[in-house]
Amino acid sequence: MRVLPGFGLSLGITLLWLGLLVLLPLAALAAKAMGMGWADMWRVWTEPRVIAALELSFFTAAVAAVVNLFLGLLIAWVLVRYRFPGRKLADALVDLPFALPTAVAGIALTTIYAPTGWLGEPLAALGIKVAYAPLGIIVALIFVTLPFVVRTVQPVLESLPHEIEEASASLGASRWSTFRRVILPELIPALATGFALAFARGVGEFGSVVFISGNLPMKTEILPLVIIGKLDQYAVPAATAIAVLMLLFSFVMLLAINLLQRWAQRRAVA
Amino acid sequence: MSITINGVTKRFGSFVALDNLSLDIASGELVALLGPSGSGKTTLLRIIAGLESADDGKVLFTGRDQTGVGAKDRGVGFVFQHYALFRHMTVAENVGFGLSVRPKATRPPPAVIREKVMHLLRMVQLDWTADRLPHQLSGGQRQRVALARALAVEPKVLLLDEPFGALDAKVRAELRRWLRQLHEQTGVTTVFVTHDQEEALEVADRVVVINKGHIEQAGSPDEVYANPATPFVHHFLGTVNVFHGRVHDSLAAVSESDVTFVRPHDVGIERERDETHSIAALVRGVGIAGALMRVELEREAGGRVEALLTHQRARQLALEPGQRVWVGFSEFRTYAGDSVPGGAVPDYAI
Repeated sequence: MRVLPGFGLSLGITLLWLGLLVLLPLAALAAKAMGMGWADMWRVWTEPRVIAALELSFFTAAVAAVVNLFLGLLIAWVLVRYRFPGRKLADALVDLPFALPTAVAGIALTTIYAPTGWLGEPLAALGIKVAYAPLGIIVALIFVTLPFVVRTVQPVLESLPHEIEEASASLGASRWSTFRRVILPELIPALATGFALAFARGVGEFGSVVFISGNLPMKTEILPLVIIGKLDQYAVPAATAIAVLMLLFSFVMLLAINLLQRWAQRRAVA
Repeated sequence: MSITINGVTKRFGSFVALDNLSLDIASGELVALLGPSGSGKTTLLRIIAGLESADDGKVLFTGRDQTGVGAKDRGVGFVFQHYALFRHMTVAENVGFGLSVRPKATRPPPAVIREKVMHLLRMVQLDWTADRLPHQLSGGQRQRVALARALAVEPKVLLLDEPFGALDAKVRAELRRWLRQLHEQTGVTTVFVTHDQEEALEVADRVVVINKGHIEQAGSPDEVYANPATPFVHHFLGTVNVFHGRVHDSLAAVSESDVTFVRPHDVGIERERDETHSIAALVRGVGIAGALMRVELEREAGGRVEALLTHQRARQLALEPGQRVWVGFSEFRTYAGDSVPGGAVPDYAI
């Protein structure tokens, strides 16, 4: 790696910035939690309600991220490869979930998917319950995290030289072989980034989920809500202990995705 | 396998890239499609490959119509100007790609693929790069890998689009010789596109000069160079001095609209006037042009002339800037003025 002039200064600013904005609050959080001692912390972590919420939060975030991995790739593909009327509009629509306050998204989705809603009623007739069920949380998270995969994959897809597909075709590869063996490997780093972002956002998402989930303890209560609940009861150490648990899980999973991505990228350096 | 191109027309919007073009390429031939950029030569190559479809006309391989047959099923090897290697695959995986994507029934076992890949890599003298990634190779090496990749599927036709265009002069010269050699070894029908007349003349059995979507002339390198059919061909194949007028013993305009082309190496210089050297000129500059010396002259009647002499002859004449000499032409060609396209008269015209 080439070191540009000004490296010392820019690295200093980077570290200071990360330290002030990311590490300091997290360290304070950890310090606060440590104050309660390991035994108490373990007791909070193993509360059935906490474990259920932890499972729910990570499960729904993972499912939503996986769905968006495919959906996002498909949307990016359509936006890059096809020319159709309204393409620019569709492109702009992708960012909308970012702009919308998540609470508004949550209320809107709840209205639609509630047992009396436009989609909720026919779905309920089929025996599918969306709002006030884990499925509703997944729907909300898919909505909120949709732009991540699209926006990470889109530029990579755009910059992919058309010639490699022509080369693949002239060598006798079918469209599917070309996609799987030539295009997809080029997209994996971007897909991994998009997935990681969507997943991380999903784990921490609060605003849109609280409305649609119904917040039934042990059933549809997500981890951030458990934290809020603890805070409402002035159980600040317990709340921070859960937050630390969340952080640990998130950090480990993001680190794993990052390592995976590094491995994929090493195979695709230009 | 022979290729027949039968009245092919291709338009991009209102731009006519190929205008009812027909050409026959014999089996085992090494043909250069030569022309300036925008002449339609690459479009023609891509239509032969099936990467582009003709609006009108047909491409036949050994008499069989290829209309509606995609690039995937034509059995052609295509080499791109910018290599188009798969950058996430090793060199060996790149070369073996065409074999490994075959349907299960016809796909050779991995060991056979590997053996074939190594054989091809030895042929392009790159077997030591088998497990490297393309970005670790130089441009010339990448293009050789691309060639090995195209040859791995045993194509009946090898098509190369400006294959050496992105390489530096020395590597280019090396690869030209090497392509010629490879063609002699494999004998596969080969068509390559180039805008470099030297490359076309040096490598090909037959040169097809293309301009504005039609063929100006097709023939052996000797033929097109010595007997250009049109002013465009004459001008495109190497440098020419352009004179507006007709050449007699001295340069005199019979018809203002006529144009005479003289190649710089057909310009003779003498210190004394004689019957073949009767145009008075002043030496403006002398410089080395590789194996030859380039002499810039200015006619006393006005206008510049470029001459190429051997180093020996230049030493004999002991030319110096400002010196007065007599110039004559050993070979020249005059065209009726209206047959010369405007673009053919270059800036250095006299």
